[in-house]
Amino acid sequence: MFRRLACSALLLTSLAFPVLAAGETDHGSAEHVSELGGVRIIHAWTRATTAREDLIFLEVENRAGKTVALTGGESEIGAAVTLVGIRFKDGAPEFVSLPAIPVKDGGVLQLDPEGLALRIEGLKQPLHEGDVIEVEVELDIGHLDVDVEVEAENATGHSHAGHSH
Amino acid sequence: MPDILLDSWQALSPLAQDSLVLAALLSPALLAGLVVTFGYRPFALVRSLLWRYRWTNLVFVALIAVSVGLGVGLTAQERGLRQGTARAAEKFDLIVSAPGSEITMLFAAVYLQPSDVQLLDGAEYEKISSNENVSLAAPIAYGDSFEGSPVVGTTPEFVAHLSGPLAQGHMFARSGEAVAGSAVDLALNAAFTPAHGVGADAEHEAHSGAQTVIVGRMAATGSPWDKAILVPVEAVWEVHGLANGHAPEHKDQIGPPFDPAYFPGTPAVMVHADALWANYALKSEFTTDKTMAFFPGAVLSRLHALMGDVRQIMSLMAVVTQVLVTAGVLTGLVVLTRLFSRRLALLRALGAPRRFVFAVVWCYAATLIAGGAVLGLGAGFAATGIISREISRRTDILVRAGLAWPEFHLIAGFVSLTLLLALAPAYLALNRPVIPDLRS
Repeated sequence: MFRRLACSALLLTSLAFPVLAAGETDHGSAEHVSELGGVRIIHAWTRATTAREDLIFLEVENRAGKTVALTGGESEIGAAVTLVGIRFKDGAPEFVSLPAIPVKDGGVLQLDPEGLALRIEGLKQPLHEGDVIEVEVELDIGHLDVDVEVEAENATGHSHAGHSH
Repeated sequence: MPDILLDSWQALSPLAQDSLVLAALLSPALLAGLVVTFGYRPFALVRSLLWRYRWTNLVFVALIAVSVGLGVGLTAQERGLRQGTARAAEKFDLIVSAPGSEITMLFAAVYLQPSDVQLLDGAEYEKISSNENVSLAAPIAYGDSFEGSPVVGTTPEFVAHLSGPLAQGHMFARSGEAVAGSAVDLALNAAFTPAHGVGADAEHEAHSGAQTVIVGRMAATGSPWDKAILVPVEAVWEVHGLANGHAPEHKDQIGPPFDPAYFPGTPAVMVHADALWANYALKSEFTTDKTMAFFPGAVLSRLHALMGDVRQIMSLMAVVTQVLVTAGVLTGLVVLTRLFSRRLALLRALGAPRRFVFAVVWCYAATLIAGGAVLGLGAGFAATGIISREISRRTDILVRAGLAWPEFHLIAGFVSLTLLLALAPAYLALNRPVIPDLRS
């Protein structure tokens, strides 16, 4: 009985947390989709870096039947994960901290290198191309564990972008 | 770099970081100077050498100055152009158009280089303008011109957004009135008839009868819009025989709201949201199969990144030029030291220490190099000012190039490297035979 319960708990845990325990990096495959209550997060990626901060990009698809808000995130490999807007001043990018951004039901919010990003600050380790890091994305309806793939240092998109899920 | 050093460095202000880099770049030169001149005062002798061969020295200084001036002028100009084009796009928060090329639309809507593109219809415009987060949705209807000035149809709200309060006159209030950009060569109350199209192929008679009067003038924006003539978008539609965006009972209305049923279409809509975050949400929302939304600043940044290779080539050219001139100058210094080899030999015959003679030659070279670099800085300032004005005149984009930290770093690096290399001619001068030089 207890063994069956333990197995069920393990199975549920593995469904809720796609690949790894939070804070670890992996050099293998990653889940491209994470879902919570009709909200899907697709193609999360970042760039390889040795700096103390990095930007995470992803797509939020809302099929929850109501407006949901993206508020930020957290990760054990960084001190903080905040929502930032990228704007260009005299041609140079600068980052502006943003409050929660609502996503209408049926809508998609793109976090990409020319607009929005989750900024991970106080990185505790360098990120290498091919790594997978785990970030907890905060929505107003709950938290969602997302696998973030580390792309090349000069990448402009997720290597799996364009594929439908 | 250890984390503690990295953190300390990142905690410094940009000014402090740049100053430290400058000091670090100059330190080899200063250190070499201190070591070479330690215990001696060779400056009186150096002064006399400089005066004795003043014309030759001036040629060397001028060569170095031209090389440094060209190098820093090129890099400063590239940065000025990049910043000027970015500033010209700053008022254009978000552009929405029919799907197509973002770059084509950027050039058309922001820099007024028109292209044939699909139009957004009334239904799509209505979706944009009625969005609760949109505070300004201005159609930008281009395609007509007058004597080289693009005639652009838009709304009074957009004119106010673009330039703030008018510098002269009042806002257009009906079809047949126009607001001129600050650089348009038409006085207030002057009348003109727009031509259909732009450039040599413009049809000057196509809109005959659509006489328009300049009733206001915008303040300068530093963008190609300074050369534009802005008219009510209703007027653009009317002169093309289309509905004017309003139902017949509101046919004299100027500006929003527009009636989707009478909205003929617009190539682009400039969207502004009061809340910063809303611009990002709107971009996602209007990126659909029927509309394309983009931040002009971001697309421009992509273009600048593509041009990054050109920038690197320019920087490389600047460095190569300076290296070549340095090589020439150092070779010249070896020849110059032969000119005064008899004097140096006399000094040594009189018992001057070898290191003193070494210090004299090195300080002489250092004065030429440092003098050339300082003059080059001035030449760079002058060159950037002249070239900027010419580029602004030709492109209508205000380019304000000026020398900044990267140029100061470049010069500091050049001076340090050259002064270290100048140790070689000083050493060669020292090793010349004294007796033959005395007899020469």
